[in-house]
Amino acid sequence: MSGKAKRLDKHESRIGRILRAEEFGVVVAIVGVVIVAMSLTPNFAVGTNVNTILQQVSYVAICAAGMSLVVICGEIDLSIGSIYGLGAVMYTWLSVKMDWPILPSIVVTLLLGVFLGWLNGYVSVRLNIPSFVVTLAGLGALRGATLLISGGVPIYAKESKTFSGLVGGSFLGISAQVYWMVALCTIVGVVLAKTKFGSDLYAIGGNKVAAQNAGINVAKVKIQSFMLSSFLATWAGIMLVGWLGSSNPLTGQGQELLIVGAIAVGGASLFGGSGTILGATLGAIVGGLITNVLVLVGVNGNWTFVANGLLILAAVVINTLVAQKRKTLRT
Amino acid sequence: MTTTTLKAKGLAKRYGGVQALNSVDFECNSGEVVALMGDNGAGKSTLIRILCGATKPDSGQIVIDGSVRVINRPQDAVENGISVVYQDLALVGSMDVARNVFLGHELRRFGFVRISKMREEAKVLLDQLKIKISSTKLQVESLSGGQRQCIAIARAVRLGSDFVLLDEPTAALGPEQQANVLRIVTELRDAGKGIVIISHNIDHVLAVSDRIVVMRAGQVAGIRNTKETTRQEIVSMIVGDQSFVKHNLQSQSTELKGE
Repeated sequence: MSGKAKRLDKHESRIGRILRAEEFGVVVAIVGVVIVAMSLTPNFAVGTNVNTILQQVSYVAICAAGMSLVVICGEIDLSIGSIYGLGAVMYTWLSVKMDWPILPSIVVTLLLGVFLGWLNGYVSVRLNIPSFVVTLAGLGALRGATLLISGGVPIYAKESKTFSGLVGGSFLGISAQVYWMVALCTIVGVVLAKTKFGSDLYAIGGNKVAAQNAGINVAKVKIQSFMLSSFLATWAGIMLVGWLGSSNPLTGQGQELLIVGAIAVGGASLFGGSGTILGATLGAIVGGLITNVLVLVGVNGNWTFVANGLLILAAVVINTLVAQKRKTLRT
Repeated sequence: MTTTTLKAKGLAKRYGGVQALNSVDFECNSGEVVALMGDNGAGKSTLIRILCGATKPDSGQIVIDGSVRVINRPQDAVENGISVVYQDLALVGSMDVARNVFLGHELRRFGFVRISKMREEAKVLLDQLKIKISSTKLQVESLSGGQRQCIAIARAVRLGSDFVLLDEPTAALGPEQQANVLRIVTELRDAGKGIVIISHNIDHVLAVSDRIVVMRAGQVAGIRNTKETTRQEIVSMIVGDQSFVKHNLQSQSTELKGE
């Protein structure tokens, strides 16, 4: 290859790499929403507002990072919003109603979350029932359990300056939740991109039979993804209590929609095999931005549901078209 | 180079009322290509599946270098130096070439997958096998069928297997790609691997194999050295009737009447 051709090839591949990156679409979406928002209202591009958006988005982003693992290996967890809510209520129930100290309450709540993830995974994978159905049942059953445990009313959290500072304070003008989001999403992102577990998830979602033939323990890896996802959602629920100072039995209702939306907007295929944590996190931010803009311009709050629904649909349609294009384009 | 021998003795397998394999003996030495031919349902795939640990035989033994090996799972076969290349069942289209070559056996350091190291080694391996793929970063689904088959073979080679089993490696490929796959088969043989290849294409079999094992109705119908046989003889062994071949048209009409 001549020098010029080589340079051209390198140049092209760099642009190609950016265009082909799974996060390309979501970055375009963020830029688009920000431009629209800035032209609509001067209150948008204010430091405190940006911090508020990220703070509110952090819970969805943490859950989305976990559930990305489930989605990438070709499954889905629709009970994730209920697990998030149960995490919040269970923690306050143990620490307030049972009067346990805070740390054991957190640990036991997290263990319960991991157990529920295992249960979702085990029933789906070992009994070979679509996780869509299993976790839809979980969505209802766990919400019911949350209402029963709480008696249907909010529970005020046990006072703890340390804990609420850790999960709801702020440092250098940035809320604690934003640090948690960055830290947890980075860890999950590294696990997904750099470990054998992550590699196995992509392989299983891409071609289950090939993964099996290559000696990957498909069932085990899938169940582990459910457990990790559930762990993170439970922790997000506990974090929420530390910030708000109370738990609400309806916490997380409809949150599965925002989480699935974040993952789809982030460029993952809901059929498995592709997706990144960076994409899912940015996807969560897109959802948060849209909600924020609608609030700032003062439209009826129910429009946010419409906007989020349409956003998911648009993302899935675009992802599907891009995937088809990629298959036909022999590079 | 010392010769290693993969032997199967008295393999039998029954699926419900069908005797898929009936006391089959089979042998493949390192450095030779053995072709398995036979009609659909002759037992070729069942034999391969037993050798690679995907199916458990009802009776019989697998012997490598004189010692009996227990092969109950695909993992056992790999540990005993046998790997199989399935058609389209071996690769993950959404992953890149390097990750596919190392699928399930990723290189790691401190628990982290070494992607650039895997790309380097995959490149070296593909170069050794003279497989032309411009970059190991390419997604496998963007490659041609022939290139995919080559990557699947490269993976089997990387596992360090002494014996590589290929199930219809040239089916559904264009002529140029078929030639490429056959070239790799001979290259592996020259590198001292024992190759077992299932194929329906007698031209390919005559071109690359050293020995031809013809199976019919779950039994070995005959074994011939490729150099000492003819297309005619092999076809007649496959269909099981000399006169059938000689009076091809006539017997076809007889068969139709028989049905």
